[in-house]
Formats: sequence, structure tokens, C-alpha cells
Amino acid sequence: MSRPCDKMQEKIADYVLGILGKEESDTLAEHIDSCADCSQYVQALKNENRLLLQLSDKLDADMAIRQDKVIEALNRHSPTALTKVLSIWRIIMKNPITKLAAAAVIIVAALIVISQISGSTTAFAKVIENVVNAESISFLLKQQLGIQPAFICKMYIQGEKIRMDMVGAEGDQQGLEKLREEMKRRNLTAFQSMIGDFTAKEAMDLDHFRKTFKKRQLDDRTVAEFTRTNLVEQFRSIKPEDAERIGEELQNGRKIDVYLLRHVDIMGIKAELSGEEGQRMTVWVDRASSLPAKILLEASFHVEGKSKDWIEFSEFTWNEPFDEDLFSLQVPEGYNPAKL
Amino acid sequence: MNDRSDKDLVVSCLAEDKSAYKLLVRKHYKRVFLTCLGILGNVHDAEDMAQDTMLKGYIKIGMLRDGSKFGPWTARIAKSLCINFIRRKKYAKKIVAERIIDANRSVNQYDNLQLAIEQLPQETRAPLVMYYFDGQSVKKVAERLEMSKSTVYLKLRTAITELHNLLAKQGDSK
Ligand SMILES: [Zn+2]
Repeated sequence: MSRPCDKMQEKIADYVLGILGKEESDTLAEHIDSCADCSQYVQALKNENRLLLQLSDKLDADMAIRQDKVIEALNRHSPTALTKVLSIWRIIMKNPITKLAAAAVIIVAALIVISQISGSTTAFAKVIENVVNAESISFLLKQQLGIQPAFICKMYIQGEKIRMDMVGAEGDQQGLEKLREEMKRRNLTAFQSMIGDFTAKEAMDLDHFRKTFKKRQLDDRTVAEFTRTNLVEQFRSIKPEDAERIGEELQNGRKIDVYLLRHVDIMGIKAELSGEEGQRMTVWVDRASSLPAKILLEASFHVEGKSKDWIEFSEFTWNEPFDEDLFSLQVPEGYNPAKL
Repeated sequence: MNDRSDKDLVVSCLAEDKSAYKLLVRKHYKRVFLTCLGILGNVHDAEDMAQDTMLKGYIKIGMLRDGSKFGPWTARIAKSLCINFIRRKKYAKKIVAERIIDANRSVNQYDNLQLAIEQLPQETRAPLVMYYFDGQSVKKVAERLEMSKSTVYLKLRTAITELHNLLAKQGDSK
């Protein structure tokens, strides 16, 4: 095989790539005319350049077929329950009222998990049913998504009505201390409230600092997405083998069983893809009542920077009826419409 | 084609609209595939990893905070999947060696070219693949690979001269 002159090789490459300046191109052309090796080299690179472009066309021709394959695979794929919970959670955070309903989603998920791992499905089915047809639940919810401070909310769910009181925040971000001071000064237990009625398809946001309110219609999709009957189906896919009883604790004299769900097969295709990232759910269950005492959902995801998100549910009360006033959509006295 | 922005499509995906994700696949597949091809060098492996990337994107879509970043986000997923793939299979050494033996039987000029591309070092292959297989825009390559334009030129120059050497060697061995 012939070699180009040492000084010329790079210039020839640039020439073929079309990035050699006019003057240099002219000098090169002169040299090529009188040098067989370099002339041959130019021809070879040009030929390869052409082949590469032809290969590009060839690859392009099959691109639609490759996409079809991906779409076929997508059609086969249905996400597992936990993935679904977390992605549902993201939508929820974009729409305040759905935050409320989401809590119910996760509780139902937890209950189904517990029923599956405890094995006593028949007995537990009844408990799930009770909660799905929720008479009343309240609990404390703490959630941290990314670098946001962890917000603490008190949730009340009763039938088709739901209320969330933002009661505080954790973290060392600036402003949080101010928030806490301000609440104390005004003698407030919550700085914002959201009240939703899924039967009336209406919601109201209250800002207790500014004394403003905002009323909203809940669209059919929001209502439908969180219709509880569907939720049960959504969580059927959690596999018992993903769960493990990892221990027991004593809390206020009550026996608590701790269950862990981990390495949930998020792809349904290849377990190794989830690798060290993934999501897990820890559920503390009161043994006597078979009801969750605490639920912790954690997700870590390393593609978009190392981040860990978590949602914790605690301080549950079950079936202790609340005053209907708590869910009233009447504007409280002294509150004005919020300006946009 | 569709005019909906990535951001808009990602929001629809969050509401479990699979058809929206399919549009994202149509829009972004080629770029993801070429990213994988740039790292792996082999078309079949790149197809597998591009598919895994798209599926993983679908599953993880809830983790994407800014829908307009769907492109760079999937590129990162593709990179991490490909790197894991290489690590897992001790890929580069063994499989390429097998294919060289194979290539002696093949007669197609494109096969030889693909084999040569596969043998290029990854850092010159990625710019070559992006440049030749996606519209020959140095600017685009520079953005995608987060390099300066002048670095891209340098790598391309190295890539085509290296490629020539590899092809010439193939010719000699026959
Ligand atoms: Zn010469």
C-alpha cells in the first residue's frame, strides 16, 4: 500500500472533509498533480468518504423499521405498579388537587402489597375494600423531590372528599425559617389548604397568609384517573417475590412488621437495567390491625444527576370520621379571590 | 411529522399517553441510535441499546423534570446503558476478534467499512458516526458530543485517516 507524503496527509484529510482553505487547496492540488502517492491517497479517501455517505443512506433506509421494533416493544410493555405510582406522583405535583388523591393511590398500593406478601389474601381483601371505599383516613405526608425542601402536609380523606393542609417544611433552605416564624406569629397550623370534592368535581385552594382563595373545576380526566376502583387493578401487578419481611419493631407497645419491596423489575424485560438505581417501598404494618403505620417510598435515579426522592406517610388514623366542615367548599370569612 | 414540542409530548406521557411517547420515539430514535453506534460501533448492538434506551426513557419519564430536555436526557441514558453493556460483555476485545474472522469471509464493501468503523477507537468513532450518518453538520456533532468545533474537525481528520488504514489493512490480509 502506498503512503502519502507525511506533510500532506492531514491536508488531504481536511481537503476531503471540505475544510481546507482555498489557498491551501490550490497548493495541495499542485502537489497532487506531481505526486502519485498523494494522488492515490486522495482518491482512496474520497472513495471512503463516498462509501460512508452511502452507508449513511443504507442505515437511514432501515431507521423506520428499527423504530417500529421499539414501538412494538413499547406495546408489549406495561409498567409495574411502583413505577406507575412514582410517575403518577409527578403529574400530581403539577396539579395541586391531584396531590390529595395521590395519597390515596399510594395507600391502596401499600395495602395491596401487604395483602400479597402476608398471604392472607381473603382476609386482607376486606381491609383493602374498606380502604378503597374509604370512609375516612388521615395521615401526615412528607415528601422530598430533588433539591426542593421537604414539605409536610396533613391529609384528610373522607369518601370522595379530600383535604390537604400544608403544615410545614423541613430543610435548611433560606425562607423556611421565616415560614415557620410567620406561622407561629399568626397562630396558624397550616399555611395553605387545598380542598377537593370528587363528586362535585370542584376544588378550592386557600392561602392562609394572604387570606385568598381560588376555586377550580376538576376536569373529568383528573377525576377518572383517581377513581379508586381502577387503582386496585393498577397495583395487581406487584409480585409477591419482590417483597420481603425485613423485621419487626415495637412502637408504643404495638408490634410492627416491616416489609421491603426492592429491585422491582422496572423493565419487565431486563433486570440488570435497573442496576443500582431503582425504587423501593418500605411499609410498617401494625400487626394487630393489619393496617399500615408508616409507608416510605424512595426512588434514586442516577442518569439525571444523583438524586433521591422520597415520600413518607405516617401518623395514620383509620375510620375516625371527620367534621364535614373540614371539606367545605364555602369561602371562609375574610378571604378574597386570589389574583393571578 | 408532528409539530408538538417535546415538552408537550412529555407532559402527555406523564398522563400515560403511550401514543405521545411513540411520537417521541419517532422524533428522537435516530439520534439515540447514532449515539449508541458511536459508542459501540456495531449496528446490531446499537439497535439493542437504542431500544433499551427508548424503553427506559418511557419507564423513567416521570423522572424527567424538564420535558424540553428529552433529547439530552435520552442521550445520557444511552451512554450509560452502552457503557454498562461494554463493561458487562468485556465487549470490545472478544466480540470484535470474532468478527474479524468473520469478515474474511464477507465480500460486501459495506461490511468491511462497518467492521473498520467498529475497530476505530471510541473517541474518534463517535464524531465520525454523528457526522457522516446525521447530516454532516460539524456544529451538530459539536453540540451533541459537547466538544468544540475545532476538536470535532481534529477528530474527524483522525477518524478518516485511521479508517483508511484499517480498510487498507483488511485489504492486505486477504
Ligand atoms: Zn506527496
